[in-house]
Amino acid sequence: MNELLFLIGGWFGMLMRGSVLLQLAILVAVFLLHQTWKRRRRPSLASWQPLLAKLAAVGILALAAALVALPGMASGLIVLAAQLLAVWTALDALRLILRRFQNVDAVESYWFRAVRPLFLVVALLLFIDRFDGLQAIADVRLIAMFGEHFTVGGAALLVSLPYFLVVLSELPVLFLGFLLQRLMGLSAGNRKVFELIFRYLLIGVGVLWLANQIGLNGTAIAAIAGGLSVGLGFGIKEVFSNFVSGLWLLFEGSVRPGEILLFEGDPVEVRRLGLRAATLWRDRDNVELVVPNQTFFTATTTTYTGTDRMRRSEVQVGASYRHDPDRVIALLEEVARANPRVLPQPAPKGLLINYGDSSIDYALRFWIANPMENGGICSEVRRAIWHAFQAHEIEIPFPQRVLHTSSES
Amino acid sequence: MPAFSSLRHFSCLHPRRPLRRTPGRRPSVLLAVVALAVASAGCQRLPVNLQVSISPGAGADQLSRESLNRLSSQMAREFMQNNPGVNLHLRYIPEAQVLDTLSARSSLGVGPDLMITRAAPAQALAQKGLSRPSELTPAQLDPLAIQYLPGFRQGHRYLALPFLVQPSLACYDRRRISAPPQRLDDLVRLASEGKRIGLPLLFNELLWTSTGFGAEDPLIRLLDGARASNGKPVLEPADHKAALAWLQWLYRANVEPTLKFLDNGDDLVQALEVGKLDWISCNATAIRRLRRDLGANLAVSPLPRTKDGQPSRAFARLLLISFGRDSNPEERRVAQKFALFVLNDYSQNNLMERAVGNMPVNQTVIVPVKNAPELAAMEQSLASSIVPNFRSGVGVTRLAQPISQVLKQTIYGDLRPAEALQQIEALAGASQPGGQGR
Repeated sequence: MNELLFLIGGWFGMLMRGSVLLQLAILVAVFLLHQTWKRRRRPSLASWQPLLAKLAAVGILALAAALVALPGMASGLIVLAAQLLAVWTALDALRLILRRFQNVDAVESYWFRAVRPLFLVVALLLFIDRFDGLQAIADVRLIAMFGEHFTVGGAALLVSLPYFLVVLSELPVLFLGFLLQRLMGLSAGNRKVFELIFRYLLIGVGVLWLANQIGLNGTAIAAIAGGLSVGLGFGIKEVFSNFVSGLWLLFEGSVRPGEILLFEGDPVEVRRLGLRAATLWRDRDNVELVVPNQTFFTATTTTYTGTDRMRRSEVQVGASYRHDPDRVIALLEEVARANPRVLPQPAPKGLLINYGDSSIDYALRFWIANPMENGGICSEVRRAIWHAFQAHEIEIPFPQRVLHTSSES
Repeated sequence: MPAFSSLRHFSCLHPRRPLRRTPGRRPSVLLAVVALAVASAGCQRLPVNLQVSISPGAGADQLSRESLNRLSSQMAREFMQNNPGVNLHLRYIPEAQVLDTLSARSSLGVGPDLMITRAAPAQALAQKGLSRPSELTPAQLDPLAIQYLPGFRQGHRYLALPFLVQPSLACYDRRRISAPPQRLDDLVRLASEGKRIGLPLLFNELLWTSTGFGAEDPLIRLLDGARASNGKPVLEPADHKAALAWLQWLYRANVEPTLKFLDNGDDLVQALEVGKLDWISCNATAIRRLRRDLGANLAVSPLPRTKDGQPSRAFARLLLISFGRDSNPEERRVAQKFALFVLNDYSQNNLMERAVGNMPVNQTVIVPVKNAPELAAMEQSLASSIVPNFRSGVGVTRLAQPISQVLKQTIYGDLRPAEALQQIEALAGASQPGGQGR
């Protein structure tokens, strides 16, 4: 740590040189100017005005650099800042263009999660490299671990790489999935499986590379594995179990993104299968349920999309005893066939299921293409039954209570 | 509730105030921090931070580099102990990147205060204006009796100061070779007897073999930009003949199956370490590494003499100190003080004794040749060495890579000696001002 402080102290000395102070003053002035403009105008994310403001700042910086260089003074810091700002402006322009052609939320999400942090890190590294050499700071030793020195470079990698591995692996994996789907004719579900597996592979390779870079040797890995085995026995058993379950489910294919399951009595769509948990979407109240992967691994899973995507639905209704059951069943089947969202094959089937206290109970069973639409289609069929019964004067009886009042009381 | 009422002054605990920072405050906070830093800098005397870049040169192996770095760090610590308020920051920069790196840093205004490099990069730094002449006066320099200093003089000042010199030697395994070859012919004879001899394919490291042919000086002059009587950068007929004779010797030398040419000095050192070679020409900085692996079986001697018994004149590596252009007056003053410190008797003696392979440039330092055979060999080799300076010998280092390629083609029979010489002359011409390469 002392070494790091000593090194940073050296930078302070260089920053105090007259030519560097002048450049810093110009950069701070341009930054303040830009911030003042931004505070007054408050442009929206979709506006092109900030782009023009940044271009103006690049122009001002370029002019300032030229003026500073005229008497032979160093102006590289201003030039570097102008170059970085120009690249940033170009990226911002790309973002605005992409907003027009792609999903705005997706573009903004990737921009804030990936592009901005990555640019900041690259700019910082570039600055340090030009200033004092990346190697010089990366090699600074912080602490000794397992006979190896843990350096600033290792610490920086440890902090930043996992984040960027997770975030940046999204795009290439999506592209690869798209290519595979086009080349091999994969289904959407299988494509997602491949994408997830490739992503895990990328992250896994990245983590191994990181371990190598930060100087984890065999002894260190053995020590960590020993610690993990104890940890697995207690604290992180569930985490590990969920991770393995997730991988298994991916290969098995029962809980892939896009699949429709019956979960706690409701049809739900699998949105994501993550390292720890699956995200399920329930349409009746538009909630996302985050369910640990282990749940699917250890409990029975009811899926509507195992071999096909059809669902058999059922609507129950009662009719008066005075009506001929054959007539009622024919009418029910006709009603179901008339609904465009009910599949013609397998054909709808009416059943007499019970002689109830006040009615004969019937069930109408029919098949639908999208299991998630069950609620809506059942409602439509029930409404149609009511209208059909009305038209054919079929009574839907209901229990009635008759109160006899005694005059003596 | 008096205790709690005082807490209401803190905005974060005030119930009605939203927990939001005003964006406009951030620049003012930044400015306040900068102002505070500048004010504190003005109020108290800050330490002087001296940046020193070290580029010991291509071919300097890891061990000798680490040795030099360790010793430089030790010297830096000693200097800091004697000069409280001075912080020395050493940075290693590979020689191949030194110009680009220092040029980039200097463009930002953060170039180093001192640069330790070999002669060719030092000259390039001076030519590009990345270094500035030393402001040390004769009264300060004369007592140090610095060797090779005149070669770096420009007007009344020195563009760089010699720091350490690393001579070329012969390193061999005494289990295989009892007595070192005295002359170049003996070397070839040893090879024909089955001893495994190794020579480098690097032009500047192989040039010593041309001494006996009388080709060395003409080639150095040619590469330094001397022109023949016809005004072209070619050799005079007699020199041409001598150079051709040397190239033909190289061409024929490769016929001996046990005389091997390897790409560079590091490869040779490695081959001697693992017992694949018995005798190599080496730089003195390799001694430490070889001693680690061969122990007492390592022997060193001056390089074989010419056929006539004249000492072969090998190129020695010279490390130089150049002063940076971005330093402020205080940094420049401390940089000069540090330069004088590393050149004084104590530091030079320390370097000689502890960084094996480095010889002092301070002539008042006594080399204990009687007690240390390696130092004796180095001293003897140095007496006949060619030490490059800004007037002579730098061209050889600068053009070493392309000419080495020509030599390689010649030794392996792809080029005839006459064709090789033509190409060397062309390379020399192309590197001169107004030449094809410009």
